Amino acid sequence: MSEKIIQIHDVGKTYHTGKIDFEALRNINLEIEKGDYVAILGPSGSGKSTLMHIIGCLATPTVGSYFLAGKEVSKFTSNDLAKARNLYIGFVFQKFNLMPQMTVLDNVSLPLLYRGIKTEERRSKAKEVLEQLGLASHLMHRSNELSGGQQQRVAVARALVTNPEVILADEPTGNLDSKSGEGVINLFNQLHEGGKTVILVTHDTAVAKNANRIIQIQDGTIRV
Amino acid sequence: MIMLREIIKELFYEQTRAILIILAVAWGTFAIVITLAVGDGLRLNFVQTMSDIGSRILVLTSGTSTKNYQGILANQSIKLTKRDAKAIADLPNLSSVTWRYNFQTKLRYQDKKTYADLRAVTPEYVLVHKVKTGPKQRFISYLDQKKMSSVIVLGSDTADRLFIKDNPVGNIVYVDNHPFTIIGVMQKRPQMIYADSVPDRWLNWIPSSTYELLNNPDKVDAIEVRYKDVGLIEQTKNSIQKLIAINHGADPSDPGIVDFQDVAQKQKKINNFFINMEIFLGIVGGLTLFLAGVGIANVMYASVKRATRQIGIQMALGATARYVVFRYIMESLVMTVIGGVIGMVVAVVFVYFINRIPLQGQILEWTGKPELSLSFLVLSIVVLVLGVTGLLAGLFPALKAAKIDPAEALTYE
Ligand SMILES: Nc1ncnc2c1ncn2[C@@H]1O[C@H](COP(=O)(O)OP(=O)(O)OP(=O)(O)O)[C@@H](O)[C@H]1O
Ligand SMILES: [Mg+2]
Repeated sequence: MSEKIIQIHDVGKTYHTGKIDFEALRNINLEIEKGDYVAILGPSGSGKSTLMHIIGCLATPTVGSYFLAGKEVSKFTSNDLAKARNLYIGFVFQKFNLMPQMTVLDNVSLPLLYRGIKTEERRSKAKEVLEQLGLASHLMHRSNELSGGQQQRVAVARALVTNPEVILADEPTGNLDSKSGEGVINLFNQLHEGGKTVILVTHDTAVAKNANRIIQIQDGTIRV
Repeated sequence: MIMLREIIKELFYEQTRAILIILAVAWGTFAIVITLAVGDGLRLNFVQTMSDIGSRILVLTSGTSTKNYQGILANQSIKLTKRDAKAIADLPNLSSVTWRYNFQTKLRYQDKKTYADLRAVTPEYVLVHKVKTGPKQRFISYLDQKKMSSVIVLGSDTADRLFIKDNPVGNIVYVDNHPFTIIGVMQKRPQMIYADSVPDRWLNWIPSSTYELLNNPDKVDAIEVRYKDVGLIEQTKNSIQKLIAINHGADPSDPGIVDFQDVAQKQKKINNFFINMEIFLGIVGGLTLFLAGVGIANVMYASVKRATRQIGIQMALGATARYVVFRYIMESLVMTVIGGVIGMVVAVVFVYFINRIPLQGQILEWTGKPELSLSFLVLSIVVLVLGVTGLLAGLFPALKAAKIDPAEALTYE
C-alpha cells in the first residue's frame, strides 16, 4: 500500500499585478505517492515554478486544496507554512541560492537552525551529509568560492540535512554545464533509490526522462 | 542562545556596516553619559558646597509699612534695630541670631592698601554663617564684643589682596586709619549662593560693639538668623514679623514690615535650575543617541532590502516571519549593546581622567571643584535609552523583512 504524500485538487493560482490579473495555474489535479520520482515538464512561462512554489509551501493556491502528508497546507498561516517547509521539503534551486558569505558547513546547517537544534549537532549532521556527497574537503570554503557543480551539490546537501520527505528541485541543472548537470541528476537518481520522494521541475525532456513519471504542463494546466 | 552566535557571525560578514553602527551608538552613548555626568556633577557639587555651609539662613532687612496703624503711617520705612534682634532671639525654631552693620572702607596692611567690604557683627555670626578661620586663629569672641576690642577677621579675598601669606594673627590692619589687630583669616571655600549681598570671601568682620562705639548707629543693616526646621519656616517668619511690628508700633499683620530673604529658597531655585539643565542635557544626549538609532534603522533597512533574496532563502529553509523579526531586533540590540558598552567604558575612563586633572581658575572659587558624576541614575537612564533605541531601530527593518514573500524573493533578480 503506497501512501499519497501530495494531493492537489482543482488548484488555481492567479497573480495580481496592478490592475491585471494573470491566471498562472488552473484546474491542477495531481497526486504523488511517497517514494515517487516525478518530473514536471513544460516550456518557459507555463507555470512550473508557480506549481513548485505551491507544492513547496512557499505560496498558497488562490483556489483549490492542497494536502501535504495529510495536512491541508492550503489553509496554513505563513508561520505554519514555514514550519511545514522545514519539516517536509528540501529545496534545490536553479541558482543554487546559497548564502554567499557563509561557509559551506554553515550553509548546510542553516535549516537545522530553524528547528532549534544546537550548534554542535547541527554541525555534525551537516558534516555527515557533506561527506556523503563528496564535499568533505570544502567544509570551510565560502560557498561563492566553489564551482557551479559543487555549489549545487552543497545545495542538495542543504536540502537533505533535515531528512525531508520530499526533495523539490526547480531546474537544478539549468545553470550547470552538461557534465556537472549529469552529476547532479545522478544524485537525484540515488536519492530516489534511497526511498525519497523526488520532484524535478524542468523544461528539458532529457532530464525529465530520469523520472518514473512525467507530468506535462502547458499554459498553466496539466496536459493529459 | 542559538541565535546570538548566528547574529554575531552575521555581523562579522558585514563588518563595515556593523562597525559603523557600533561606532555611532558608542558615540551617542558617550555623548549622553558625558553630558549627564557634567550636569549631575555640577548639581552634586552645588549640593556639596551648600551642605558645608547650610541653607537654613533667614536674612531680615528693613521693610515698609503698607497700612496706617496707630502711630505708623503707610509707606513708612521700618528701621531694624538691635532691640529687634534681641527680641526675636528667644523665638522657638531659631538657633542663632546676629545683627550686622555694613560699610565699605580703606584697609591698609604694611604698605598694601585695598578698599573692602566690612561687616560689624556679633559673635553669633559665626554660628549663623559657619565661617571657618585658619589654624590657631579665631572669629570674634564674646570677650571681644564685651571689651569693644579693635580686632578684625579678614576675608580670604582681602587677605590675598593685601598679600598676606603666613599666619598674620597679631599684626595690625588699619581700618580707615584705626589700628585693628588681626585675629583670623577666613578659610577659602566655594560658595555659589550666599545670604549677604556678596560672597563671604569678599567680607571682613569686626565686633558690632566696636562699630557702635565709633559710629553710634540708630539702626542695623540686617538681622540674620539660622533656623532649625524648614517645615516651620512660615510660622517663624510670622512670629518675627509680629514681634518687630509690635516693637515699632506697626500693624502685626502687615507683611511689609520686614523683608525676608531665605537662603533655602535661593538654593531650591538653583537646584531646580540644575535639574532642568540636567533634563535639557539628557534630552540633547538622548537626541544624539536617537540619531544613532535612526542611523541603525536606516542602515538595517538598506541591508534588509539588499538581502531580500537571502531572507527569502532563509524563509524557504524554514525561517518563520516571527524568527526574522526577532533576529533583526536582536541584531540591532546586539549592536546597540556592543556600542553602548564601548561608549560607556570610554566615558567612564574619560571621566576618571578628567576628574584627575588639577583644575585651577577664578571660577572654581565660586563653584568649587565639580567632578563628573556617573551615578546609578545616569547609567540607568543611558541603559534605558539604549534599549529603547536598539529595539525601535531594529523593529522597523525587522517588520519590513518579515513582510518579504519567499516565493517572490526567490524569483527576484
Ligand atoms: N509574482 C508574479 N507576479 C505576476 N506574474 C507572475 C509572477 N510569478 C510568475 N508570474 C507569471 O506566471 C507565469 C508562470 O510563471 P512561472 O515562473 O511559474 O513559469 P515557469 O514555467 O517556471 O517558467 P520558466 O521556465 O521560465 O522558469 C509567467 O507568465 C510569469 O510571468
Ligand atoms: Mg521557473
